[in-house]
Amino acid sequence: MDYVLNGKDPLFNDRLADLDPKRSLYLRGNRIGLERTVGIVGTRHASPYGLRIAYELGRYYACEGYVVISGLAYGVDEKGHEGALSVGGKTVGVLGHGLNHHYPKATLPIRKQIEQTSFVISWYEPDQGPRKPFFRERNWLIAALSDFIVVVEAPLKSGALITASFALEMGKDVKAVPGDIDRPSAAGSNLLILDGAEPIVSVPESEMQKYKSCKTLQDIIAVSGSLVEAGRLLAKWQSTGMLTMDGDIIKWRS
Amino acid sequence: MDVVTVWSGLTYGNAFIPVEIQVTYGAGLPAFHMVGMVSESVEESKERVRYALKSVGKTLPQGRVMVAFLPSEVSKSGAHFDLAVLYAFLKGSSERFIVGEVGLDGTVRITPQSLKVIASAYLNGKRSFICPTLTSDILELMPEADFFMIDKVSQLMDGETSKPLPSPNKVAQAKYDLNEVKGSGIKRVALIAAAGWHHMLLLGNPGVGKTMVAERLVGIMPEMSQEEKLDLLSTTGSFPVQRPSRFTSWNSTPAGFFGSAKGSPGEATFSHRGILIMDEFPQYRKDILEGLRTVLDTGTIVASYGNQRLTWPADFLLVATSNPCPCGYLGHPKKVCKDAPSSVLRYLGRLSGPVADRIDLHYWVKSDETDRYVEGACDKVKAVWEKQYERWHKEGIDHAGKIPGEHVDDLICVSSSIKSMLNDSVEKSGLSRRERHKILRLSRTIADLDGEEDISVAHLAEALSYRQVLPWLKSLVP
Repeated sequence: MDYVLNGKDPLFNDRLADLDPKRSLYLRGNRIGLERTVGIVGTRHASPYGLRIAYELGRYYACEGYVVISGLAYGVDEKGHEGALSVGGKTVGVLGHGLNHHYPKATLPIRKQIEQTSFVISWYEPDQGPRKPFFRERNWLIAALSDFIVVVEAPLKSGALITASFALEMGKDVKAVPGDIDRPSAAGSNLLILDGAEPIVSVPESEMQKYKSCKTLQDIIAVSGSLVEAGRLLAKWQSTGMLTMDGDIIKWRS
Repeated sequence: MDVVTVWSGLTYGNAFIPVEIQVTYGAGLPAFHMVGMVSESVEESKERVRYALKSVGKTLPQGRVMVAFLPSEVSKSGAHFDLAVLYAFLKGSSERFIVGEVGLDGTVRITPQSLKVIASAYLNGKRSFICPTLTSDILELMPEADFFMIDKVSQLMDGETSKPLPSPNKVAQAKYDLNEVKGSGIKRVALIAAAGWHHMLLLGNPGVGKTMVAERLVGIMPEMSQEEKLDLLSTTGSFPVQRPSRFTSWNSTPAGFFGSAKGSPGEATFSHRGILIMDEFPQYRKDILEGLRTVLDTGTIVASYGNQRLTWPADFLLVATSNPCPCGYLGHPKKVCKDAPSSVLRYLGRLSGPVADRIDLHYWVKSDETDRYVEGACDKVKAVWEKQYERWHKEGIDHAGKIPGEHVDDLICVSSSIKSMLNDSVEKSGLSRRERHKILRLSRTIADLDGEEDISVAHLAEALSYRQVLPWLKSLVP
């Protein structure tokens, strides 16, 4: 489903209130609310570590009820979206071209999934193809839509840093994931920490807290509400040694 | 002169072919001929028979001697025809079934091939044998047959039968004890696998004891029944002192694994009604992994070589072990996996192919699990075997792990509320029907193991957790 909206639309919760009302925004997908949002950005050529953390963060914020905003690019963006989708969370893709195009091709399957559950959004006429300056404008939109920005891994010259600086101009928080000090692709995000961005030092196990009070398998099933989900959690926690089963009774590792 | 007829036989796969041996001789230049697609080992029996006859003071008849093996279209090999040929010269025709190898000094010996032929002749209704001396535990497997057992050719003349050999001391079968394995979770999984005949895939970092568990699985299974032993004897020719447990390595060839065109069975048959351990499962050759598919479904090996068609029994419990990734350290609590994500996914992909799809039980083995002593593991497994046999033997099924997919819903009863809960959550998470069948089979065994008649949600959730290990591993890959 396609929509043409302007910045005053209630969907955006006043995030784009200052925008020229004549300027249109093009949406495809479902109109979902943007109560709490987080932007996950980073380089297209991230290390395996960066990719994994992007995925974990996407997953974590989606579990916590945030809408994950990112740019549907290859690398960190893609993984952030994937992480959110993996737990059935909401995630918004911001495009640097019209809705009838897609770039890069590799992220098209993820875009399709996003259109099923949330939406993709763009500044441009549907038939407008991608152009270099558009991506800078796209980054502005990511910053504007997000309550705060997380930079996972970014080199010194990077779109993610541009997004971060837009966010700072708007008075929003920027967090960054510490990277290896000798890795060029993490130099920019490390620099952000030096400049005062809040470093992310752990991905909290949001799932665990909900279940810590469970004493038996039945409790876990009751809390999760689904047998398959309970099985998935059990496999994960048994494998990581977080819990052991003694008949029906669960013993948590303290 | 007349034609003398004696009987012996041969096996091909698990098929038994009776062989009629006709002997005659007449005027002509002295010669000794054998016809009927005989191989080297049969052809050589001429010399063994000639000198064995001499040891009792007899000689081959003068003139042109002809021995024919019928049916002549089947190729024959093995030294076990010696005694039959010798009997024809010494005593004349006989309806009894004669098997055995003879030495130049007139001794009569047993060979693995002879054992195979005797056992499979017995299974095909032969009841009267002349053969080398057998051990008493082999004789116990064939209580209805009448054996005339001899050590020396001379006993054929005086009609004196030998006493059965004492059974070899049951070697206090280095019986592996399950409690040597540390970890209550892994022991429970071993119990479930053995109790319900569920194929098992053990994943884990190097050195956590995956193989150790696999080797101990056989120790908690009930003793083999007489029929199972006879089956195994008739196809492999070796007497199973205990339930087989065969350790195979990834460099096996298809012929060594499934059996060769010459009719010698492979590892899969040697582990019939026992355990087949496949170490480093994803490293096996593709043709072995693909070939396993039908074997796991049917419990038999069917192989066509040229114009021959072979069938072997191969109803084993598969225990596969594997690392989670090429370097082995994915999911390790301390060390870091150094592989590229794509190569890890390719490695894990091999674990979710069509073969691994037939493995019900997945488990992540760890080194630091809390331990609890398991009392009477063997009795628990035996109780479940009896319960499941009782429940399904009318349908020809003896273990939950062997219920074919199309019958799972008929044979495994679940209360309607629990069933709808399962269907709901299976549908929501997009699991396949086959996956659902596995969950039901596993939870049936888990409930039986806990001594409960009704499957509860806890049983289902536990069964599900054994199906969610690979998805968990995949989520660790960046």
